[in-house]
Amino acid sequence: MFNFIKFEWQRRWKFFLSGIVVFILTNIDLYSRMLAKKPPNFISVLLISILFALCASLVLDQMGRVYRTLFTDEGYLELTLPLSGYKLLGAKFLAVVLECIAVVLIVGMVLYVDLLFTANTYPEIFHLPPLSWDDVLILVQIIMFILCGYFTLLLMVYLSFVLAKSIFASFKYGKLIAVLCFLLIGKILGVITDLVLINSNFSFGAPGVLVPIGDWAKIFVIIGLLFISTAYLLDRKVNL
Amino acid sequence: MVAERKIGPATKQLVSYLPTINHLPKWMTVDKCLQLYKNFYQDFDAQLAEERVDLVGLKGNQKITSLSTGMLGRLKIVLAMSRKAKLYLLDEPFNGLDPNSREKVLKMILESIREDCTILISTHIIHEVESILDEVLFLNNGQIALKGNVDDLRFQKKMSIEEIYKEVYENV
Repeated sequence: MFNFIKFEWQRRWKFFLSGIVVFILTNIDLYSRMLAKKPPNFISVLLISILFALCASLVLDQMGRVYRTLFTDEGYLELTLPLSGYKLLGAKFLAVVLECIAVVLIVGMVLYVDLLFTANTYPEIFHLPPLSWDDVLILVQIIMFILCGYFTLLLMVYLSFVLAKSIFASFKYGKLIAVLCFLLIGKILGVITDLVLINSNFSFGAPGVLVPIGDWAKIFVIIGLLFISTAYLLDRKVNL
Repeated sequence: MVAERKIGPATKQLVSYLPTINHLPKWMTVDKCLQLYKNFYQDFDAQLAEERVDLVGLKGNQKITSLSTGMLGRLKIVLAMSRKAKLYLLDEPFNGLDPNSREKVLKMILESIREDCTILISTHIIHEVESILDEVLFLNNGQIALKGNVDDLRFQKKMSIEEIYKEVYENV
């Protein structure tokens, strides 16, 4: 499984490196312009556009990873490797999780450096508020909550692709049915999230707790169920 | 079922599959393909594969996108036949290959023959492989049209396998 993560990363490290470089350049450009009180110029717009395009292509790439396995010739390589569907999907999913964590860490570090620099340059007008342990916990939970939402969406997309290539493979409009399945799964998860499982009353009052542990458990169960059902179909029901 | 086991990671370790299409990712180089096979297949002989890559005139740093159909065919056969698998499934291994490449591919297949393995070749180019076949199976619309031992069929029909092939598919 880790070999497959390595394989996935070998393909994308140049893309990530270029993303980091563009992000740092954009940050330096915008930050220096802000300090010099200059408006963004053509270079700034170009850098922001490239960064936006890279982010969009990363999201599309992450969504299309299972599509490539199932609907392109690469599937003949990936699905004949001695990996179960669970390990194959696990490796792809873990690679995405690591990529997202890496993006959050890099963005977080660069923004923190910006804040530190501002605090050091203009101590009279800006100072970093002391960050308590509870604040850090809240921040981590907000990021985790957003990431979990993204991972759920990704798994829904993956499940739809696998459904199109397994249960609905013999149907003339299998892909269309899979799109309908995606909408249906989304609707069901929405209903479950809103009404039955997760109460969205974030407890801002409790120190260091934004989402109660019980709700985290429910979120992870939903992600787990989506993962297991997708991996089962990938393991047993896919017919290339 | 393969070797009395349900299809899964264990059976995939037993089978070496060569598809007709290019299944190798376009971003990879020849060396990375060898590395990939080495990482995933316990029975992959990396040293033998490197020797064969040289033998068929490929270089480790060549990108998949830069390879011609013939070079790609040779690389695919190097990867598939450098495994010590129990079953080799070769789907049209001679497709798009020039006569020199076909000769090299055939040589590699012959070198890989072992007592404990089976090589299943699906091909329309009969005359290239006729000399190495033990058994043949002619399929028509997913049904077996004719099957048997090569020597027996030749003896019974007084024809070469290629002629039998033409006879079987005459009306198709």
